[in-house]
Amino acid sequence: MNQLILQVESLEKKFELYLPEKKDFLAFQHINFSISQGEFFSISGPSGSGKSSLLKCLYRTYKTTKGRILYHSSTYGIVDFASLDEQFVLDIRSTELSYVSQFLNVIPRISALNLVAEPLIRKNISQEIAMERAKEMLSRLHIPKNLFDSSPLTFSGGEKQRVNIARAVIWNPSIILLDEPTASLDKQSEKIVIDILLTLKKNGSTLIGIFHDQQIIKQISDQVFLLQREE
Amino acid sequence: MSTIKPLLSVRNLTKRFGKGCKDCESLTGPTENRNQCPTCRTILGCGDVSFDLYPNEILGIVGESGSGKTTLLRALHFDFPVTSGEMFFSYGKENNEFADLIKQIEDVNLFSATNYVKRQFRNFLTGIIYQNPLMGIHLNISAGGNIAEKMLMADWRNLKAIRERSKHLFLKTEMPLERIDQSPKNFSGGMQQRVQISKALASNPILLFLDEVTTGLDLSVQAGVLDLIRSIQREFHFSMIVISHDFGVIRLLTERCMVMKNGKVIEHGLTDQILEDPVHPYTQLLVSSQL
Amino acid sequence: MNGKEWLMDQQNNKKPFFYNFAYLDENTKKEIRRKILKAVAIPGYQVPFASREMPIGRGWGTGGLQLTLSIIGCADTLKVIDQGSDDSVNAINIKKFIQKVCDIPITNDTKEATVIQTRHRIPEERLEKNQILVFQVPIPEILKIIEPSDQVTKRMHAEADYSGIWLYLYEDIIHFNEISIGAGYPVMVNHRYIMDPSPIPRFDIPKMNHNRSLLLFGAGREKRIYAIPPFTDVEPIEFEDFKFRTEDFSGKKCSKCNATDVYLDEIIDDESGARSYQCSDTSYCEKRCQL
Repeated sequence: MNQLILQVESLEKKFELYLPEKKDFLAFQHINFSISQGEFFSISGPSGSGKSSLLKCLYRTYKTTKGRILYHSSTYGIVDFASLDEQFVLDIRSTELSYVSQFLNVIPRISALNLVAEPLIRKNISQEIAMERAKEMLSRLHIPKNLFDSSPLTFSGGEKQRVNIARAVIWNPSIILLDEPTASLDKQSEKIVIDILLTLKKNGSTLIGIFHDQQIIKQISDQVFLLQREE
Repeated sequence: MSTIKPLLSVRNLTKRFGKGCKDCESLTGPTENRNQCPTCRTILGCGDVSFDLYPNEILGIVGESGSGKTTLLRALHFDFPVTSGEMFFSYGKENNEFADLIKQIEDVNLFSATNYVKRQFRNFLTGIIYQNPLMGIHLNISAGGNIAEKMLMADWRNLKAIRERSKHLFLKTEMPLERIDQSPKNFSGGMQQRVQISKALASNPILLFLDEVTTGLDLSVQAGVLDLIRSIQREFHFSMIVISHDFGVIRLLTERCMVMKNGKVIEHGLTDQILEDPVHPYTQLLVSSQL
Repeated sequence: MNGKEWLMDQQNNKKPFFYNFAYLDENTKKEIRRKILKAVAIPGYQVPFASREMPIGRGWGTGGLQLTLSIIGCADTLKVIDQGSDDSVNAINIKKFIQKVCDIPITNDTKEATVIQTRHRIPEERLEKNQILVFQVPIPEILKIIEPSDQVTKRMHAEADYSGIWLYLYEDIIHFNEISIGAGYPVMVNHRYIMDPSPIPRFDIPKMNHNRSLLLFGAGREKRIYAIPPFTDVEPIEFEDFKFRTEDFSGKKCSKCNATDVYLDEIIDDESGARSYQCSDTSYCEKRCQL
């Protein structure tokens, strides 16, 4: 099929916590998988199995303790994301790799429109075009027009999540990591989001997501990875 | 792997206050939990700090009092000579107005340069914003005059241009234009801080230093100042080194940060990683102590 | 006669006051000449010197006098002026003293003199390369208007940190739409040092730029020597859009010789209150009248 875009080898994440007392906590270990370009890769497993932790490791928010994350970057070639220098990680995050968190964490004083337009402006796209595309995206996600200039702080959970997704995908990243993107959405919003994700996939993006809904997983995934819970 | 040259390269920067002795290295630092050498009473300001800062990047330095973060900043700003270490500056962007000066200091360890060169570097290429606005502005000159001073230090010699830019920055930092010729004596803390910000930006610096800029301000004013700094950085793409003990500020402004304790860097990484997955026990303590 | 002959003459003729040629001992002359050489090598830089006990009080021209006495030789012809006049009390006293201690020809003619000692004016007639102009300087430190401490002004000159004085001019223009400095206007010498030209009128400043003669400046009370070698760039500090202006004498002329392009003194008749103008440079005026 398509060429590989991500290879995970013997990945392990152990937390060494010192508060309130020294305690080690193993999130996952011996993780191996490969993902091809354009795939929809789902990570599934019981709660507490380390799915979110794994995803955060793929984004380098968590530092892995063992193993490699071989990422095929279009700028830098094949790199081990786990041990890559910080400035390259940041560069890849702004040009190729995107992350949709489970909850929208945002500065309260910025409007939804500005939030979604920001990633485009950072890429030196003009203010006008960025705002236009942001409006488009928010409309597609069925955010009412009168909320464009409001801060998402007051939005419903579903609306917040849709803004979150909009912000993460508007700049067409090659890989998108999604942590339970449809968890707080009603059926209608869920469908809209899934449609958008499938469109992105059609346009060549690779998607790696955690979903709780087995139906969705079955519906959209090319590959499903099951995480076992560590005892 | 293709690499962009860092804007600022600091290697093994050490600043000790005092004579120093053979025990200083082993008896001070985070593992010893002290800054002062018990043998010779020399104080370790900051020790063996190395890092790279890239163009258009914001680096945070976090730590509590005595961590060495302010000493580090002062050393980088040439406020005092260092005990040892090197600092290199490189900027390759074409058509920049400081090309001659930058070429002159390419591959030069700035810590060993003459005071004349250090002053040129400070005046033309950097700006600094202090925690206490009174350290950065003069109360006996008008607000506009304070902003003009930075431009005069960078050899601006056209009055109209200076005046226009002062007004432009005044508006950009959301201050009322009618107060531009007044002394900052009667300005509120937040406004004084904005005068400092305008002044630091006046000569289009490539590198900006921020020393606890919002500590001491009311929360709503803090938010305004931070938002302002963020939006201006997005617009002008200068690099920043941000010192703070407040992780909220660090999270808002920075992408990478270093954690300091007793003068040494004990952990460094991406900001989101430091906040969500701190590795060093002290970092874990700091992060969990945030309200 | 030369130095040796002078001493023999003193001894043989049992002159009542036994002075070295030109009053100063050879070691003093040596020191002052070395300092002059250093000053010439660094145009505009103030060289400290050990100002000697002189038979005139401090503040009456001891600096200029020490310079003149250190460089004068029996082949020289001396002219001394005070505010342009050869006949003022101070000028006459200095001339009498110098003649007593080295018996060299004195002249009023600017063209004839090889060494000209002056207080607060540059002669109207152009000086040539065989001439030396010695200025009497009251306060050599131009930065005193913004900074009283010598330690700080020394550092400012070393680092070319002149923003303070530029800011002073800027604030003047903003508040008064005029620069308030009259005589002794700051000049930039050789694009490096800002210098006090002594309290000469603005009118004389352009004469300093690329002057063919050597200009020496001596401050006896403040113990500084500085110099401008021939053909040096000397520019009054100004903004691109607010240029330096000299005094305006349009419509006025000297009541004696009708000159219009010279610096004029204003004379008010005590009884009638009538205003008239006369050349400040008296010898030049006389020359013109004789034509």
